[in-house]
Amino acid sequence: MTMLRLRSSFGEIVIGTILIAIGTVWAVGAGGYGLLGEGGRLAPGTLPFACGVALAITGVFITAKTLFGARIDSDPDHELDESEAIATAESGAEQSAPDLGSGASDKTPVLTRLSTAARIRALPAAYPVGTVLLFLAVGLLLMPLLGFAISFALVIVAILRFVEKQALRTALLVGVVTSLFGFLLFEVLFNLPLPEPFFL
Amino acid sequence: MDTWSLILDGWNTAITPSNLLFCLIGVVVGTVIGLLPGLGSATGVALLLPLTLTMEPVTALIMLAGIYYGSQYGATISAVLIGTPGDSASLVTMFDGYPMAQKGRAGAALSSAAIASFIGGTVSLVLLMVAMPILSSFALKFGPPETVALAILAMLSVAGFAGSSLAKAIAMGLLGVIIATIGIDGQSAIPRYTFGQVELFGGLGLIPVLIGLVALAEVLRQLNQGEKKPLRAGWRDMMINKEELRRTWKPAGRGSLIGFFIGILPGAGATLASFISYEAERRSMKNGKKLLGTGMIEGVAGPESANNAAANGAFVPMLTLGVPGSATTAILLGAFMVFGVQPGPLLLTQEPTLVWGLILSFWIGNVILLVLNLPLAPLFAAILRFRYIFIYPAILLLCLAGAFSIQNRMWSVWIALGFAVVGFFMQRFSYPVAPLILGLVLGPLLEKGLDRSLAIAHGDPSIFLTRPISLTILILAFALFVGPTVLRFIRRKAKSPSTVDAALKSSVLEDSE
Repeated sequence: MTMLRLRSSFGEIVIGTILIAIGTVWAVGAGGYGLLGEGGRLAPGTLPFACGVALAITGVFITAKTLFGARIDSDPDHELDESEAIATAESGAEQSAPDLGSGASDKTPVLTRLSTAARIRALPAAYPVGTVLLFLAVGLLLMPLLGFAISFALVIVAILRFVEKQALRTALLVGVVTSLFGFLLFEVLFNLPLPEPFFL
Repeated sequence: MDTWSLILDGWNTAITPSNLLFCLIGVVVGTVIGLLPGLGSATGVALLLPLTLTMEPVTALIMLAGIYYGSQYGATISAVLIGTPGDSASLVTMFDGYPMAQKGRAGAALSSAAIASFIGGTVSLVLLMVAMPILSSFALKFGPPETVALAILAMLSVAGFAGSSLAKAIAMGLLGVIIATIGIDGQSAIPRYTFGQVELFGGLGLIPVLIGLVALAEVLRQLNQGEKKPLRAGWRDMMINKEELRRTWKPAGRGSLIGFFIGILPGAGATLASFISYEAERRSMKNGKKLLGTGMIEGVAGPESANNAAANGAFVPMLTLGVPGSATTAILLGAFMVFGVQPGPLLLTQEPTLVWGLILSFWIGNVILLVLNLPLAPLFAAILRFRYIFIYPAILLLCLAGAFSIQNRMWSVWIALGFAVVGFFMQRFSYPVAPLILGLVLGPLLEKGLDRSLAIAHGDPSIFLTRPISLTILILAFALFVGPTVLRFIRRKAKSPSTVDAALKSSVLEDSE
């Protein structure tokens, strides 16, 4: 429970800090475009400056509220009693979206008991979101080379095989069928070209 | 040309074979998307927008609108059959729809929802046809200061209804405006925040950002989540009986009126409309407090008609004022702009056929929904029996190929992927998406309006307070912004939670609408 709150608070602070950083960069950068226009008009930097400053201030508010203990996410109307709080935390832990490290909380102890090779094999399922993002990024890098259909099929095969732990045959079937569906939908039906492989 | 001739022209446009076909496709695809838990109308429209790029504007918009209300009905199917609303607007339907399904009346609940949605759609259409010309002629008095005031109204009202944290909603609205400033400035032609990258000169692009933020982020969120087993509803079970039909009319009528008038308020949206309608049913029923929530058909019919009427009502401010009231209408506004159509006071005068064609296609879409869903709901529900791992590859495909298709460049796909990560963390830490989308869409409008207003007033910002319409809108914006906070404060004092309160709490879910 405490760990859950600490992790959530840490995340809130990181996001608050990112908002402060974006706001500051925008406000500082706006200076280069001019803050006051001629003849009472708006300069290119006026709105970005105002929004940047406002975002940085909001970021400071969110971070400060988290740091000093106020519950930003909580509903002011409803104070949870202890049993309710535990139930909420537990169901939240079960149902909450898997984050880049979500698997770590419940799967790390299992991972530490495995051999190095088995641990590497178990990583994609333990960190599904991070792994899917990695596969997608690799797929996008391959697209200019292999074209959309082949790269996308490979991404789906990798996701289903390593993250979802499906049989290779199932993964291949879903990958190929989805890619084919994409080709028919975009290229044939709607005449929207997709990246082609270098050898075509 | 008088209004009736224009409406007739619109009708002729709506019933051309290609428009009817794409309306049907939109409604069916929308229903399928809507019934997948988590994939709401905003996701559906963002996901399929790239596919409409090669179509005629009116056809594309008819299809996108079909996806909008189709997905709302689809969300009802999953709310009734598996107790998981596909969209926040169907949350209330679940309160009585799911217990009805558990009692073996899933079919009656779905049929009542289809009939009530049709009534909501029809009543709101009539109101829309009356309200549109009046509002349009009124909107012609709007100048740049009023446009700025409206943009502020839309953003503040959405922030005001943003649920758990006002600060987070404000931050997201500001972030949206900030993202919109990337690229060449429309007024001065100076490239801003491009860091020397030519790709950034045109900005990040609305659609790739939306695809990442809404659709891809949702896939990431749902990865490896537990799936509920659907209840099986047989064909005979789908039939609604006479008594249930009799109990559907009145709640549907009440819900339609509530829905339309809530729907035309920017920021309020279909979720709030359905909650208020549920509250109205609770008050109008004998023993409503005890009975609602146990599987009463009134608890399905009222909210369903309300959310459908609100969906239509939301088009009033979008079409006449160019101000979207929700995430989905913001995306649709973006779609209008992609097709070179500028919603606002002049739209009805400049594009009457498009506007009336689109509006009348809503009714055609509702007829299609009724005809399809009365007998075919179990078939749609069968999609819920697929495991999510076989569904999300198709969603990924639409996201990546869609992002590429917009400008035929990989850069857009990378932007979508980047914003998927942003959207994922936003959901994880309860940052609402709707204000960001509104900021993104309204940012350029706000900047242009501010520039022109200040030019007119020779730099005097009091222009916004000295013009009556602009001042009224700003006062309304302030009231809508402060209202929910004051309401919460009063309720905290009274310590009597109601369903409307729940609506305000859950309106963070409004993002998916």
